[in-house]
Amino acid sequence: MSDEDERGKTHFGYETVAEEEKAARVGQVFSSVARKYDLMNDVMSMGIHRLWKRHTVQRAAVRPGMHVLDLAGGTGDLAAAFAPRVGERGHVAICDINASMLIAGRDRLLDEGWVGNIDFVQGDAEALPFPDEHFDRLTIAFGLRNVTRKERALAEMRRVLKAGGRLLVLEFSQPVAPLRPFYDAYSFKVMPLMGRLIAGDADSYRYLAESIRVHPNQEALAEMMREAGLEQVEYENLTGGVVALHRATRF
Amino acid sequence: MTTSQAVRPLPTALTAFLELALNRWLDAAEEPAVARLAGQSIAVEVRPPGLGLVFLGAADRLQVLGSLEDEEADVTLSGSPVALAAALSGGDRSGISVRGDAAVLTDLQRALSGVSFDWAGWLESLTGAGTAGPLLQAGEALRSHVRRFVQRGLDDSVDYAREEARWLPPSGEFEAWAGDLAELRDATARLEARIARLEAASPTTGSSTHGPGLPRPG
Repeated sequence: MSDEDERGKTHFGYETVAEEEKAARVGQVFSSVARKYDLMNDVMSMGIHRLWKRHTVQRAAVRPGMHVLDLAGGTGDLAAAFAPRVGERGHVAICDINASMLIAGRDRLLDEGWVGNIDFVQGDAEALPFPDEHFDRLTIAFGLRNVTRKERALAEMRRVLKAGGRLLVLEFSQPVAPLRPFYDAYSFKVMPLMGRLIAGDADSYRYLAESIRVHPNQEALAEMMREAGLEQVEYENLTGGVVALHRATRF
Repeated sequence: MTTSQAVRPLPTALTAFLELALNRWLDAAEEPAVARLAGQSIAVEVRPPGLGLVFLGAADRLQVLGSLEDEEADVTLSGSPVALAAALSGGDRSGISVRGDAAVLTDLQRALSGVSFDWAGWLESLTGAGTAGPLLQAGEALRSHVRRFVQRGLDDSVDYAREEARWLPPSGEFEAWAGDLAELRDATARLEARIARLEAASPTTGSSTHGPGLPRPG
């Protein structure tokens, strides 16, 4: 990635694009899928994404009064789980660069009655609009691969975490070898087809499949987190490595 | 890690189910049982088979986690499934080991005790109005069978113990018998020694040895 930084280029799925172009194109993708994002997640993962997120909430082990940032929080799955757990003394912030996703999340959470201890913030993961050492927990679920400069974003995540605060990155990753042929067939044939049938947008779901392939694998992401100054970096594979949960602590 | 290396954390699917069931149960408490556990953590190690889980008090519920990372729980309980169930439900801590703040365990026991759960309401919320009756009757019949089975087992055990008790010697009798036996053993030993000395002194043995106090023959 450092070479790409020098050239000012990055990935957009399998395409190589200018860095300043990626955010806008990712924005188009999520603006396109925002309205049916939750439905598509359920359909495409056969509901398993709920278990992955549930596992992330468990690993976060939040307590009453904690401050939690759900970065790239989109439609608010994790925030909806954290808000009642931290209670009135605690606080949850959902931060997403994409206004459409944030609006979808805000409407959903308001409809479900989550008010009071949740804030919705439109912001860039590479320049988080929060003070230093502010959060006890920071989660980013299925968002990091869409960030243009992941190193910067990880450094920002470290900055806003309190000492002893914990970062949890839930992201698609590299499945174990026996799963890969089925996974590839599913991602490149079935996902775009379902995207076209359900959300009327095959290209966006093709991008999602491609962006997973160019995202750093488990070890590479763990190394990036260490380089960002995070410690006690660990990861665990979920569903055969289709998804990995990376965990790290800021000291 | 709260749970030791030999303990495997329960899988997420199971802890999620446990958390749902536990909090439905706790919601039926007359006083807010969860409030006193807010922020507290209780690790449970079930040995055997070596499984671990953690109760972590949140603002609105008691979370059930597989483990706590990089943190020591406020209190850690370790024991067999039966002993842990007895400790958590009835307060009998005799079969478990407790490390940490036992006051947190007391809070958990208070939270779990005295909950009267509306099973009919819960079942009807899942299966629809009017369907809970037959299910509850079946459950009550099963519970009645189990209770009778357990009671009969207990009664049989009591009868067996009573019958066996008849064959036991009264208090003091065994000690007297043991004393007599020791006396008999000593007497036998003395007699044996005397016979040996007589045999040694006898002319038919051809021995030249003269035992003290025995007259020389001839």
